Amino acid sequence: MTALDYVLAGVLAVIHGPEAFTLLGIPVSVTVLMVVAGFFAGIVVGATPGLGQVIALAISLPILISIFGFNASALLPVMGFMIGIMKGSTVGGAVPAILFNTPGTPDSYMTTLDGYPMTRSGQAQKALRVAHFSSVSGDTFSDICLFVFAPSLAILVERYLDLPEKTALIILSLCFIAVVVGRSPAKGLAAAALGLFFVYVGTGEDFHPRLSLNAPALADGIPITAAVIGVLVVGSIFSELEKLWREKSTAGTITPTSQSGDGRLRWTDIRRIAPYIGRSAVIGTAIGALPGIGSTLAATLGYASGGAFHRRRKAADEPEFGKGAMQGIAATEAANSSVAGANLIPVLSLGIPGNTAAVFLVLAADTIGGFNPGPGVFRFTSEANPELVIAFGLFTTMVIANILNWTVGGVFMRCMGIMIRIPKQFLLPVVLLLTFASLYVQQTSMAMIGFALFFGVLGYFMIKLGVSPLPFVIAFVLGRQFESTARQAFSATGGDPFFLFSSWIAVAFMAGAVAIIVITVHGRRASA
Amino acid sequence: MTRLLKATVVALGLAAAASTALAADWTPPGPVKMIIAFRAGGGADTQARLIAEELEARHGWKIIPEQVTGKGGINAALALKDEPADGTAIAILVTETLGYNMVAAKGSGLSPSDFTGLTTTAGFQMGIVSRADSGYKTLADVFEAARGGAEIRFGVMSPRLADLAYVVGRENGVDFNIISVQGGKAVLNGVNAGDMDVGFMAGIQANGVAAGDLVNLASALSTPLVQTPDAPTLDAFGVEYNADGHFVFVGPANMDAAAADAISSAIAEIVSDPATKAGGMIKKAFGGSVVIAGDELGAILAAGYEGAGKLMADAAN
Amino acid sequence: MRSLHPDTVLAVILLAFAAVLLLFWLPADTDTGLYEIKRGKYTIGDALAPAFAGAVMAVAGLLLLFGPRARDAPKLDTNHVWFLSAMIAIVLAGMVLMRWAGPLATILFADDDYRLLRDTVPWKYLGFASGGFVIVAGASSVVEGRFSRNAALAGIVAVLLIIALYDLPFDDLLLPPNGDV
Repeated sequence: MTALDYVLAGVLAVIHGPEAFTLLGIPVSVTVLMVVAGFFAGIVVGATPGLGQVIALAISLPILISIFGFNASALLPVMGFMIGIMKGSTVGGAVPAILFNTPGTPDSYMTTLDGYPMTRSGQAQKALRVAHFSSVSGDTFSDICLFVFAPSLAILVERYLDLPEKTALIILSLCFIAVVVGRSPAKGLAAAALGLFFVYVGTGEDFHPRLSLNAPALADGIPITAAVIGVLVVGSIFSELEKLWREKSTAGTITPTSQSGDGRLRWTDIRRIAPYIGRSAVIGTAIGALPGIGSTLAATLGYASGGAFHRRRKAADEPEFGKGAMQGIAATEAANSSVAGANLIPVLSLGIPGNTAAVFLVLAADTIGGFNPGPGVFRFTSEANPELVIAFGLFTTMVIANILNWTVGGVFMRCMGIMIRIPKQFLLPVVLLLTFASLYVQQTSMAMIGFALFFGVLGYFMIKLGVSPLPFVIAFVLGRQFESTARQAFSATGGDPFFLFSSWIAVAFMAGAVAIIVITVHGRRASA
Repeated sequence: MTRLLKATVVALGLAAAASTALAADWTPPGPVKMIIAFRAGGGADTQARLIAEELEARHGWKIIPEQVTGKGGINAALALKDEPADGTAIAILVTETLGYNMVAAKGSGLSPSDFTGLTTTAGFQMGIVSRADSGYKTLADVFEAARGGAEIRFGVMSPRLADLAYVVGRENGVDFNIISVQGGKAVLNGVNAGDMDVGFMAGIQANGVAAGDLVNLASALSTPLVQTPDAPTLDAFGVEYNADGHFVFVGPANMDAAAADAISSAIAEIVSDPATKAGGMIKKAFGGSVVIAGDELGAILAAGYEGAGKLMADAAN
Repeated sequence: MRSLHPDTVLAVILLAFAAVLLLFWLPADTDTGLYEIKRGKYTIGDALAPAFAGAVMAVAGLLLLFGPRARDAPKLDTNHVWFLSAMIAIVLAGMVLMRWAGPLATILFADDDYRLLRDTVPWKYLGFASGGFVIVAGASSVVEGRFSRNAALAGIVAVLLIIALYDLPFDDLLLPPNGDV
C-alpha cells in the first residue's frame, strides 16, 4: 500500500464503518456519530466550571468500553468520542473563564485575565467569538502539523532527549513559569515552592507515605484534580462572591452584567488578532510535540509572548493585556488549543502522552487492543498495516471535529453564554456545589471536598495577595514527574550526582533556567 | 511452618469450609463495595469493573466499585481491613501486595491473616522485555553486552521486581542500572522511548510482541510464557526466584463463610467463561483466567508472605 | 506603630514554614533520607524532593524579605477574612450534613444501617440534598446579606440538577457521602 492508500483507507474506515442510521438516504457511521456526540458533550463539559475534559474522559472511558466491547472495531468509535470531547472542551473551557472569571480548565486561566474584563465592559459576546476563532485556528494549525510531521518528529525528539535532559527541561519550565508569570518573581517562586511541597505530601517511593502525619486521607498524596480545581476554581468563586458581597453592602444592590454592541467579530478584528494567533499556534504546537510538558505551560508561554509583542505594537486607544485586550484571549486560546493536536505526536509514535487527556487515549488503545501506540504505528508497509489505517482514521475524526468546530461550534458555545443571565450570586454557589460533587464522583471520599475547600482558601489568599496561582498549579502538575524523572535519571546514570550536566543539551537547559531567574529578578529590581 | 503461617492458612481456608448449600442461597445484605487497588482506566481496573458488571447481571447484587490506589496495594488493603466481614466489602489486589509489600511496609502492621482469600482471576505473563531493534534475542545477549562494557538500564515497577532484577544481574556478573517507575505502563513507555534498555512487563507487552516491536527476552515466571514459550525462564540463569503473581479478590479477616463461598464461586464462574465480557477481556489481556481458591489460595498467599523476606535479604547484600 | 509591609509578613511566614519543614517535619516523617544506598548503588531518597521544595521556599522568602517594595502591594483586610470565614463555615456545615444526615435519619427512622441503605431512595439522597442545599443557599444568602426565596430555589435546583447529572444516568457514580460509609 502506498501512503495515499493508507490515508484513503483511514478515511473510509471512519465514514464507511458500521452504520448507526441513515440520514436522507446517506448512511451515517457510528464513528461519525460518536465524534459529533463527543464534541457537543465536550463543549458542555468545558463550559461548566469544575468539570473538565479529564473528568469527562475518566467517566466516559469505562462506559464506552462497556458499550463497544474489546475488539478492534471499537477503537475508532471510542477514540472518536474522546477526540470529540477533547476538541469540544478546549473551546468550551473559555466560556466560564470569560463570563464568570472562573476558568473551566487550568489552560483557560489566562483567558480570564482579558476575557472577564471584556465581559464587565459589556463585550462578552465578542470575547467568546475571539476565543472561539483563536481556539479553532490554533487547533487546526496544530492538527495539520500532526498529520504532516507525526511520523518523523517524535522519533527525532526522543532521540535527543534522554532522562537527564528531560529532567533539565522540567526545571527550565518550572523556573520560567515561576519568575516570568505574575508581577513578582519572588512571589512566583514562593507559589511554585508551595505547589511542589503539596504534591510531595504522601507520595514518594517508600511504603511510608512521607509528610502525611499518618493521616489515611494523605496516604496516596493529594489528588491533582482536587488541588488544581481547588486553587483555580474554588478560590476564584470565593473571590468573586466576596466582590459581589462588597458591592451589595456598599451600593446596596448588585448590578447585573449588561451587553453592549453587537458582539460581532469583524474583519479588522481578525486582522488585529491574527499575529497573536500565529505566534501562539507555533508555540503551542512546539510545546505539544515535546512529551510530558502540556497545555497549561503553552497557554502561559503564548500569553507571555503575546504580551511582550502587544506592548510594542498596540495602538494608544487599545487596552493593555490584563485589562480586556482581545489579543490576550487570542494568544491564550490559540496556544492552549494548538497543543492538543501536536500532543498526539508523542502519543501516536511513542505511546507517551503529553498531557492527562492524552493518557486516556493511550488507555483506551491499551484496553481495547488492536492498536499499540508506539514506533510500529508509522510503518508504511506494502502489506496492509492495520495500525496505520487506525492512525489515519483518528486523523479523520479530528478533521470531522474541526469542521464541526468551525461551523456549529461557535454557535453552540455562545448558547452557553445565556448562563450570564443568571445572577451570579446564585450561579456561583451552584457551580461551587457542582465542583464539589464532580470531585467526589471521581474519588469517592469526603476528603476530596475537604482538599478542595483547603486549596480554595489557599487560592483565595493568593488572589487577594497578588500571587499568581499559575506557578502553583504548574509546579503541582509537573512536581511528581519532576521527581520521578530525576530519580530515574540518577539511577539510569548509575548514580551520577552531576547527571543534570551530562550532555550539552542538558547543560543548555540548566543554563537557560539560571539565566531566566537572574535576568528577571535583576530586571524587576532595576525597574522597581 | 511458623505459627503465623498456620494461622494464615486456617483463616484463608475458612472460605472452602463453607457448605455450598449455604452459598447458593446467599445474597448480600446491602450494596457490596469493591475496592480496586489499580488506577482507573487500565487493564486491571477494567477487569474488575467488568466482573462487577457481570456479578450484577447474573446475581442481581449491587456492586459499587471504588478506587483506592497507591503504595503497591497497601492503601487498598488498609481500607479493606476494618470493613464489615459480611460480604459487603471485597477488594481486588495483586498477590504481591499480600506478600512482599506487606513484609516491606512494616509500618502498616498488615499480614495476610488480616484477610480472607476469595479467588484469583488471572496470572501475570511477566517477561523481561526489550525493543526488537535493540538486537537482543534472549537475556543471555543482554548479559554479554553488559560484560562487554555496555551500561544496561533495567526498568522495574515494584520493589520486589527491583530486588529480582538486582539478583538476576548479580548472579550473572552484571551490574544493572535499575530504574524504578510507577506501573507497568511506565516501563513500556520507557522501553519504547529508549530511556530503558530492558524492563519487566506483566502482559502489557503482548500487543508489541505480536507486532514484532518488542521481544520477550526471558520469562520471569516459574513457567514459560504463553505467548513466547521459547523464552528461557530465570532458573536457566541461576536465579532461584521468580515473579509469579496473580490478581486476587480478598475480603476482611474471618469473613462470613457463606458470603465468602458465594462471592468466590460467582467470580470464578465469570472469569472462567470467555463468553462473558470479563472472561473475554482476561483471555485477551492476561492470556486466560487462572482460578485458585480455598486452601490452595491460602497456601500460596502464606508462602508469598513467608518467602518475601528471603528475596529481600538476598538483595540486601 | 507603623504596620508591617504585607511582603514582609509573607516572607516571614514562608521562612518559618520552610524552617519547620526542613528541620523538624521532614526528618521525622520520611523513611529514607536525601539519598540512600540500595542494592549496591546510590539512589535518591524520599526526602530529597520535599527538601528541594523547602529550599526554594526559603529562597523565595529571602528574595521577598530583601527585595524591592511596591507601595501599592495588595494586602488582606478584615473584610476579606470575615467573608472567607463565613464561606468556610458554610462549606464545613454542608460537609457535616452530607456525611451524617443520612446515617442519623436511618438511626431514627429505619431498621437497617445506612451502609446497607446507601443505594436506596430516599436515604441515599438525604446527605447530599441537605448538605448541598446548605452550601448553595447559605453562600447566596451571605452575599445578599439576607435569606431569600431565590437563594432557596438555587439550592433546590442545584441539588436536583446534580442528581440528574450524575446519579440517574450513571449506575456506578456515587454522590457524597455514599462512598465513605
